[in-house]
Amino acid sequence: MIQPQTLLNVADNSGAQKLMCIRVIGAAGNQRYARIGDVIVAVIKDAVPQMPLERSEVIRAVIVRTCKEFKCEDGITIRYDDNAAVIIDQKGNPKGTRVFGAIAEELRELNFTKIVSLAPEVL
Amino acid sequence: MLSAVGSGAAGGWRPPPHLFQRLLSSCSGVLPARPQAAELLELAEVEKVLSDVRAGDVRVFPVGEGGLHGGACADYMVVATGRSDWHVRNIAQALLYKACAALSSPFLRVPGFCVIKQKQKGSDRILMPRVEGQQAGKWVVIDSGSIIIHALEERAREYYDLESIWSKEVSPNTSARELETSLVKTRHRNLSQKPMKSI
Repeated sequence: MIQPQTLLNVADNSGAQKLMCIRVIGAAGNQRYARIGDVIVAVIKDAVPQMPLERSEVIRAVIVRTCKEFKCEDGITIRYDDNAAVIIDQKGNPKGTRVFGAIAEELRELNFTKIVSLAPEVL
Repeated sequence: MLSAVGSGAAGGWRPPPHLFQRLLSSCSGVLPARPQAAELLELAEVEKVLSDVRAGDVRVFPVGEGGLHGGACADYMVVATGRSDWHVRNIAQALLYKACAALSSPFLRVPGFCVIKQKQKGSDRILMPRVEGQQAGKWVVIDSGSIIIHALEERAREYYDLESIWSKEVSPNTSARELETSLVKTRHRNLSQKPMKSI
């Protein structure tokens, strides 16, 4: 359940460390919560120095981990310990080259197979 | 459902194409949860198509059972390089065309659009093979269940360096013994102004 002002970790090596959600893409009037697989617009709150991404840049990201449990179609519920996102560009390509943490298989059906294939572990 | 199809055929009413597929796939019985490799794209076919299209530096990584990723993602990852955006898109088109031709069946073909097999997974019906990134052209992924084909432009391939993900081994899970040795007893150093509470 990610909404504007939510702080998220970054699950890739793009250079950013913390993001703050400012908009959920596809939410009418911004009254929707974002779940795993939703794209959000976020601003970088904290970044590693000397990387292409800098603090206070506005970027798009796809949510890969939420503390709110996520119910899969086959009845399995996945709940992580933190909220995290992977930074993508306008076309859906991940900005970083590696993704950290386990990624849910559902991202594959939502057209994020690139992120799933970069993941070290797929749930 | 079945009676509707029968009367429809006799009366000359044609159901819309997407519905027709659904009727057929529901009639055809229970499909396996994960489609067989023969239904979609086989490794040998993929390699042949890639060599026809003159894709550069084709590499196959087995990431199936017993391999990396725990085998949940796919059985094989194929990586190919295209010399330009257009070439990458062409590779994707060629593979899709091959996949459609492989499942040639008069019922599944819709004029003007190559219809793709549906994968039955619970209540969801997912179209396979699935293509991502085709408009952009820098990195196109064709997902056909057990085989995932990545077609990248040269610079994108250098940037992402996909070989190093799938060629090095995943670190083995730490055993209980290693955990015991890694947890070293440390003494708490009281750096704050407040004195420690006596026990």
